[in-house]
Amino acid sequence: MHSATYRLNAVATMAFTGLLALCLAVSVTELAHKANPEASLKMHGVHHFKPLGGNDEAVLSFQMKGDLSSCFSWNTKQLFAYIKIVYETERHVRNEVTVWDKVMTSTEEARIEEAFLSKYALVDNGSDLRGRDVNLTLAWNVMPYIGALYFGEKVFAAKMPSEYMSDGRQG
Amino acid sequence: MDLKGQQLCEALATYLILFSAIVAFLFGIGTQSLRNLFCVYGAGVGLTCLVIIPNWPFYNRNPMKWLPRSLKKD
Amino acid sequence: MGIFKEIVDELRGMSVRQLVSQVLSLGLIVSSAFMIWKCLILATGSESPVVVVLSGSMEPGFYRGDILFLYNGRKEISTGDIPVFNLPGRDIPIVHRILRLHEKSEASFDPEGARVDILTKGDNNYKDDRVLYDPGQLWIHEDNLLGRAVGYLPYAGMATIIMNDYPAIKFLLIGFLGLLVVTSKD
Repeated sequence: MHSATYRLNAVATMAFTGLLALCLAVSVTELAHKANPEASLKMHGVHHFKPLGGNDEAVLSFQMKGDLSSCFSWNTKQLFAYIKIVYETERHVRNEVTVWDKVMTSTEEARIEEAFLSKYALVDNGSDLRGRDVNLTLAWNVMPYIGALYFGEKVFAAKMPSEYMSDGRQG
Repeated sequence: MDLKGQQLCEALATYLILFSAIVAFLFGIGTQSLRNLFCVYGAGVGLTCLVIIPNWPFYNRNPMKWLPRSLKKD
Repeated sequence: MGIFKEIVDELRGMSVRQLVSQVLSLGLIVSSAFMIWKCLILATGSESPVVVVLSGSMEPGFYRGDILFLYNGRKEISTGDIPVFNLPGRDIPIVHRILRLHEKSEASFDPEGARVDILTKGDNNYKDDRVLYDPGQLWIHEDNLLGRAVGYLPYAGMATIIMNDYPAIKFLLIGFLGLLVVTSKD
C-alpha cells in the first residue's frame, strides 16, 4: 500500500470481487422464492382449420384466466408467457407449436382473464391434426436481473375438431 | 505512508468493502430492490476509496526511525 | 507518458534470465485461463459456454452487452427454450427463442438428416426467423445450436461490444497489459 496507484489497484480488485460475490448471492436468493401460479386455459373456438400447402393450419381462440404474479421475485426482470400446443402424430413423435406469447414486465401484466385469438397459427409439419387429442400448455420463462433462467408450465387437455372448417364456429 | 499506516490501510480497505457488501445485501433484501443494493454498494466503495487512497495524516503517526547518517566514508 | 518511461527503463534494467522468467509467468497466466475455458466447454457440452448478446432482438429481456451462460447437454430441447445458434456460413451467433419444433418418429426418421426440426423467433421481432435462414431453408437443427441459455449476467459483456465497435482498443489494451505484467516486480 506504498503508493496511491497501488492502493487504487487494491480497492478496485477488492470491490470487483465483492461485486461478483453480491451477484452470486442475489442469484442464490432465487432458490428460496416460492411461486404460486394459478391458471385455467381452454380452447374456445376455431377461426379456421384447413390444409395449406400440404400442411394443416389452424387458427384457434382461447379462454384463459391466470395469475402468474407470484412468479415475480425482486430479481425478476420479466416473465415471458406463452401457450404451446403439444401433440403426437405418426410422422412426428413430438410436436410443440407456440400459438401465443406475451412479455410481462410487471405483476399487473401477469394477471389475465380474457378470450383471445391465437397470435401464431398452429401449423403442423404434415396434415394429421384432425380429431387429434392435444395438450394446451401454458408455460412461462422467468428472466432474472442476475442469475439462472427458470421455466414453469401448466398443462390442459383439448381436442382438435374432427373436420376442417372455415366459418369460425365456437367450440 | 509508514508501515503501521499501510497495515491500517489494508485492514480498512478489506473490512470497509466487506461491510459495504453485507449492508448493501441486507438493505436490498429488506427493501426488495436490486437498485438499492447496488447503490448502497457503490456508495460503500466510493467511501472506501476516499478513506484508502489519499495519504491521510492518521496513516503517518509512526514515522520510520532511520539511523543517523554516517559521516565516515568507507 | 511517465509510465511508459518507467516500463522501458525497467525492461532495460533486467537480465535475460529475469526477462525470460517474467515471460514465463505471463505464459502461465494465459495457459491457466485457457485451461479454465476448456474445462467450461467440457462441463457444459457447448463450444462457446459464455456468449455476449450482440443484438436487440430479445429486448426487453436481453440487451446488447449482456452475458449468457449456455448448456448443451442431454436435457430434452423444448419450445420456449432460448437457443444460441449459428447459421451456416455466418459466424455471428444469434440468440432467439424456439417457436416451433417437430421431432421425427422412428418411422419417418432418415439417418442422413436431422431428428428435430426447429423454427426460431426473436421476442422483439415481428416475424419468425425464416427471413434469416438460407433461401429455401425452413428449419434449423440441433447441430446448429451452440447451446441453450441457462444463466444471465447484465452489462458484463460491454467490453466485448466496445472492442468490436472500436477494434484498435483491443490491440492497445492487450499490448499495454502484456507490458505491465512483464515489468511488474511480482
